[in-house]
Amino acid sequence: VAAPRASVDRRGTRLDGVTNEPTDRLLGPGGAPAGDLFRDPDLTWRPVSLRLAVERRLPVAVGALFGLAALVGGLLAASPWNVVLLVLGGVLLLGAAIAWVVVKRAVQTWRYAEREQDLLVSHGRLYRRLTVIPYGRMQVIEVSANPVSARLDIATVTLVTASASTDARIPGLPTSEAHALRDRLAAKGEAMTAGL
Amino acid sequence: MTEQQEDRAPRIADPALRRLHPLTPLLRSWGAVGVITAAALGALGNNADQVTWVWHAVQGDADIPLLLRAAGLLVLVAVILLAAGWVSWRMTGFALVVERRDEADRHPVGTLLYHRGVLVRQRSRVRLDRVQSVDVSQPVIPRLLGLAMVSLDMAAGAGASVKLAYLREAEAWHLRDEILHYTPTGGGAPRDPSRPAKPAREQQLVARISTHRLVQATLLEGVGVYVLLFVVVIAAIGAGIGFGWEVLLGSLTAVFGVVLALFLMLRNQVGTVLRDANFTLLRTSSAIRISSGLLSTVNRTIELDRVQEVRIVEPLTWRWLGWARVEVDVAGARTDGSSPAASLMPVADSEEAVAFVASVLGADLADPRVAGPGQRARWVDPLGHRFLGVTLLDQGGLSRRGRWRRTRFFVPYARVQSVSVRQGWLQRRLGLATVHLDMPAGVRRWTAPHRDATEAHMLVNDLVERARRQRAMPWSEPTLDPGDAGSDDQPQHDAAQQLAPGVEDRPREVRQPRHEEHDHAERRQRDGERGNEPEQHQGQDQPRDRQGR
Repeated sequence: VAAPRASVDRRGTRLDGVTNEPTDRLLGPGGAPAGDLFRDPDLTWRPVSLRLAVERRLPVAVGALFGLAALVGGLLAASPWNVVLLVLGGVLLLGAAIAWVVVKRAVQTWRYAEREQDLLVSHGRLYRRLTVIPYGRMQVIEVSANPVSARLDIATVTLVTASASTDARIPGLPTSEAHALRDRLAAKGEAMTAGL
Repeated sequence: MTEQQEDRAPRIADPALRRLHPLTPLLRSWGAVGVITAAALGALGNNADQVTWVWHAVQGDADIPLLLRAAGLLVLVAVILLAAGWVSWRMTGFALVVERRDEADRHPVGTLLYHRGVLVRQRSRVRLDRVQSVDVSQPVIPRLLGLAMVSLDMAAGAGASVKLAYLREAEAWHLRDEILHYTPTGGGAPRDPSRPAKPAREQQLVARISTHRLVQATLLEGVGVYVLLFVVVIAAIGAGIGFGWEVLLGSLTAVFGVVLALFLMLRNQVGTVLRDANFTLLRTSSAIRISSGLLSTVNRTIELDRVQEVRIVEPLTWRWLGWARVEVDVAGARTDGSSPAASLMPVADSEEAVAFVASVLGADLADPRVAGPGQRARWVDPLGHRFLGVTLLDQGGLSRRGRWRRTRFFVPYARVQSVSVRQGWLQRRLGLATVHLDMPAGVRRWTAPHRDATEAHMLVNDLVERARRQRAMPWSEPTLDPGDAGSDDQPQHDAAQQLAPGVEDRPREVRQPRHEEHDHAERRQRDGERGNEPEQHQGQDQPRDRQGR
């Protein structure tokens, strides 16, 4: 381990002597982990069902319908307002088209992996996140489905820890898989429960 | 953990309940009763020469002045309030019950019974081994009457606390000692067969902060606002002289906002001073006891095992003088956000603060091995990136930030709930990522901002592993293997030696070793009996505390 280059003023009056060394010094020598930070290739990552995209595209479709209606109305109506309607419809349709693609791509990024001690949940394309939740910290495991997702036979598994900032939610799991996951997690959590 | 009485719970023969102090109902509603009585007396006083009116009024054969009628009504309300309070007092009782499995049971379980309620009867049973902290506090008026309140905090937060108000002061302290007997980390006395069961009296004075200095520090922290006010006033007067009085009058309206801000700040400052005056820090084997307060006094006990986060804060103006404040977050503490975080030391010399944290938590918050995020971070955090830094100590993560208000955050790994890493679009382009440690509710998550992506990857793996290893252990034994750079023994040693010169002039108590090996071994053994993870037995023969050298 290399000695720190700049030392910190002991009196604490100046803390700006933060060392700007190459940051891998923080953890010392040791091979850098291979692969993507958010997708450790050694793990079996499981995707969520693409039916989640169907669910999430539903509001988009509704928006597109409104846009279409506005467009048709704009074409048929013979008043100076039809320009406004045309523009509105165009914008709505364009937005819906973009959202249509984005939603699908966003859904494709949801992944989870079970390790021996913890569960990893990762998602996001532009803003990427990975959360590692130890089984011992799980307090409640919820499986929930709204009417739409229930029809699509998918459910959301939510992991509750004592922390409010833990962002642990896996949406769009096929219902049977969700229940199986919940049971596995509950069993593991019971075996490893730790106090606060 | 306030359980309603259940059938499956072991039967406790209803013991003789103790009552709270008889003045309790009066004190609880003293505001309402006081105001009403004063108003009534005032109204009656105006008719003092006509007291016989009251008699006639009751007879119903007099023309009662409106004022008098109102006064009578108020008196009636006050009497009803008092009567209700009295009935409620009669129905309130508590008792401390100790269950032993047999005569020789060294680990009796203490339970506090707390019965209350007239219409809706509530019978709470509080298992004392679940209690996170026991505080004795004295608001102003009860203090004048020599009364005090005992409050028990449970891990579940603000909702789950029991307040026994009011008791005579001596009784309150006695009750607190009794309760601490049966809390897992409290006195520790009942757990130690060699010592007779008596309250933990072995405590040492760690620090006493003079109110004089507290006032100075508080004023200094808010000096920016005063300067701003001064500048605005000068500017307004200047404008008045330069452009005539109408402009001055106009600019006075601008001053108004500043004055309002000033008043708010003054109120906060006065609140801080009132709360933290007479600040005394005592140290017992496993906890810190704080007593403070000018008008109302509060006595808090902070169990070291419950500490979720410690911060050393250095506002700009304090840094010129080398001062700092130590703040702490504890599980189960009131987290409604209305009151500022509890100060562990409202103001102290920076090095004193660092040494204090080191002595109680075994973590050196001035560890020099803090690594910054590197030059790339300037694109994401142009102003503050130079002040960001992170290091992994044996017991927890240390992070610091702040250009003006330097803050060092320390969280023990053992308290970490989950680890997460996030990467925004810009960070991705720069090859950076931000690592978080999620802490229990009420504690902001710990952040390692803008680390190199590869390093972030290692950090995540490392933090997960460290948290896992320390989770089941009672308190932060340095058990990490020497191959791990973050916990390498050598730099730690150096750090401790570097610390030494500054240490000499500090009171000896600060450097006292923690003498609680025994308690911990005992507790672990006890936990083991309850069927917890065998992992807890690891590190039992490790040195308790590196600071103890």
